[in-house]
Amino acid sequence: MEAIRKITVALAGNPNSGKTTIFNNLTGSRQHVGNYAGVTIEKKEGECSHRGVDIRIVDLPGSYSLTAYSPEEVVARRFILEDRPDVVVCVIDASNLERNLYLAVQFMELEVPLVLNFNMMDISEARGDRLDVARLSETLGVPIVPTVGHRRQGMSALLDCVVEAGRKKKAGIVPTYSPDLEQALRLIQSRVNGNLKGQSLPSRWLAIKLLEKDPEFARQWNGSAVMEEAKLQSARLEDKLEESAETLLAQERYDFISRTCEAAVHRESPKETLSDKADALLTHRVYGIPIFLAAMFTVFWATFNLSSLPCEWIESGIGRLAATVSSFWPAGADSPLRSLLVDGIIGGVGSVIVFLPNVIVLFLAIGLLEDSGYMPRAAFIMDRLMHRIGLHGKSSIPLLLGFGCSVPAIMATRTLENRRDRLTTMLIAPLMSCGARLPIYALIIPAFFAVQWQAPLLWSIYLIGIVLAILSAKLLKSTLFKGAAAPFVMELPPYRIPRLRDTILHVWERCAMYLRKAGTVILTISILLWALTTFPQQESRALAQAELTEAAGLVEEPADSLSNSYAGRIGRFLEPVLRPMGFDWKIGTALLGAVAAKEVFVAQMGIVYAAGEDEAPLRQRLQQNYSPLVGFCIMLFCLISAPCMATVAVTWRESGSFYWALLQFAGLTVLAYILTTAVYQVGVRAGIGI
Amino acid sequence: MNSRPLNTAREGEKFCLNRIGGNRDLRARLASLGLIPGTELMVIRRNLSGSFIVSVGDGRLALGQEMARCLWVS
Repeated sequence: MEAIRKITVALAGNPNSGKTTIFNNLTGSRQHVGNYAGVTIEKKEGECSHRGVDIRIVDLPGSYSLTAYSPEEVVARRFILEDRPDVVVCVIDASNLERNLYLAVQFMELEVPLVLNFNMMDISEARGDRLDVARLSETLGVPIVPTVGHRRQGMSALLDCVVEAGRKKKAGIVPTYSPDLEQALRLIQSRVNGNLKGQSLPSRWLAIKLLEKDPEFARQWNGSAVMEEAKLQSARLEDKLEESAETLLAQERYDFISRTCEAAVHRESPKETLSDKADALLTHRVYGIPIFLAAMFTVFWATFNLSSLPCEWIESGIGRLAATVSSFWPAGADSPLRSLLVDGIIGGVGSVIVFLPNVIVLFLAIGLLEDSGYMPRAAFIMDRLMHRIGLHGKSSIPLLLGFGCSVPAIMATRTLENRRDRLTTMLIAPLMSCGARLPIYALIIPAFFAVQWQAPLLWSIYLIGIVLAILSAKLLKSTLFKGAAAPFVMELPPYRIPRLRDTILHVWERCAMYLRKAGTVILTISILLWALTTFPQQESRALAQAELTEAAGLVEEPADSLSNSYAGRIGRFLEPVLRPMGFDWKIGTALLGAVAAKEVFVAQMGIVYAAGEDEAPLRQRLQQNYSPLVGFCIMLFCLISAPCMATVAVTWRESGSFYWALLQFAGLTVLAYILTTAVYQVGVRAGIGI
Repeated sequence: MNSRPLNTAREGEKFCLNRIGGNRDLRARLASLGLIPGTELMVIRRNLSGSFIVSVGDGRLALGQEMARCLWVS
């Protein structure tokens, strides 16, 4: 037998079958796992080596079937059909066996070399189920490996089986169905055989797909004799059995599964599970919504209150660092290098890093919601409200993720079946105030507002975002994306107690990402903005300036060197536009920088106010320079305005069109401008907060 | 057999699904979630807006109100 050195393995399975945990175990990667459908939305690759064979493993998005109903199912199906992996491992949640086998049966129809991985065996055993794995394996003609993914049990056996299957390249048995269906399939198949069009697909599988009126294949074979035969047969079946062909096929698959399981699976009669008890409260018709709101309140309360102390430590640490670096230069000396280090880098990046504890707590809280399985419940509870705005409950998962970061939120819209719903959700997602905007609120709110107003203000900012998102969704759904939402159906996986390792890993990854962003994008922009704020230097212009001052008879103000810098010039150029919102040129430059990443706003305010001689803390400087009304307007504008570059890029990619990204960018910016101007003007006239 | 749409059901009732409305895509989706004619299901929760949680085999599914209207049970 020829020795094989390298095989490609596709990891397929239902959403929530623990596929990604298996993938992480096998490849040592740290892909994000969660407890709801659609965590893995893109295929991910990893490698490992077992008994001298290099194994390339592709983790496919979870799918319930190969009908290619939603975008992630399309990705999974396309990979299997086009890349033809050597082995398909179908991960099956053993505690929900029959439903999960539905996908496995479709792989058997496709006649690919298959390994079944019965995962979550611990749950099924704890429930008292007895699975005769050997017998099932024999009946199906497919190797079956039981595993417990989160305890890493059975991984080596799984790899043994995969290598063996890669060597043999043998498919399991082909499931057979009722005589009526078999006859129809045979007739279509005989036509297919003569017309394979160079396809390497099994003719029986093609016959099944054509009988099911699979849109992709129906289009491909449209007008051919084969398609005519398929139409004829499906009409004949529908006549005889009074059920559509695709429903018949689904029924037959489940019949096949229950026949197979009958002898090999013994299960206790279902009892009310702990999960059901939890659901009795958490999805309660009356208490469900208050509990959801309380949960969200706790998330944001914790984000601010648990992290205030560590934030202060970091802040004082950064202050000391700045003082230490400054002390390398003799007092009063004007050195551009000192200014770059202290004002630009420490002032800019430092003011962003201060808020790391907030980000940690926020992502910890979101991570716990994701891992516990509460997310799909939130979708269920929110269904009513979402329905009112023309979407359905499922849209609330991307929107909740949006409180963390808009990028994963927009990617999570892939679980929405309907393109109109998906685009609407994508476009409004940035209105969910993300973690990068937190530092702005955390800087501004304590600077301007008394303690008793701080929490309500923060709430009002988040609420404004939510209300605007609702209104925008309603607007979009009644203009650009008219049409009913796709009917809402979603699996509710059992609750799981989040495992410490996963949660810490998840939070660690978000922290690393935040720090990486601080060290790359924010650092670069900080240096750029520092340079724009610092140059041209006063001396080089002193002469011209003196002449100008003399001619105009003006007294030079201390901030003049700032306002004459490049940033000052850009800012002052923008100032007429910014004035109606109460913003000066300094805020203007910070807002420009914030387009790269929202945190840059904080960094640039740090730079602008570090550049002066006054060593007072940033918040105090802000308080001296702006009114509380302006403070509020800054938050309002940052909440609504142009999403950051990463969000624009991901909207572009996910919507498949530059125009949607542009619409999102421009629409939100215009909305921000109008609202902020209105608030400022009303505020000034009413004399509130000036 | 007198068939009625699921949205008339109450919590705790058990049913046999006998007909599914809606288009091909929807039926395919439901089939892959285990909902086909003949499936037995139990209503676990019905909230005020007419959304449902039903148990199907070992799984739990959340269904929106239009979804529930498409499922005929008895």
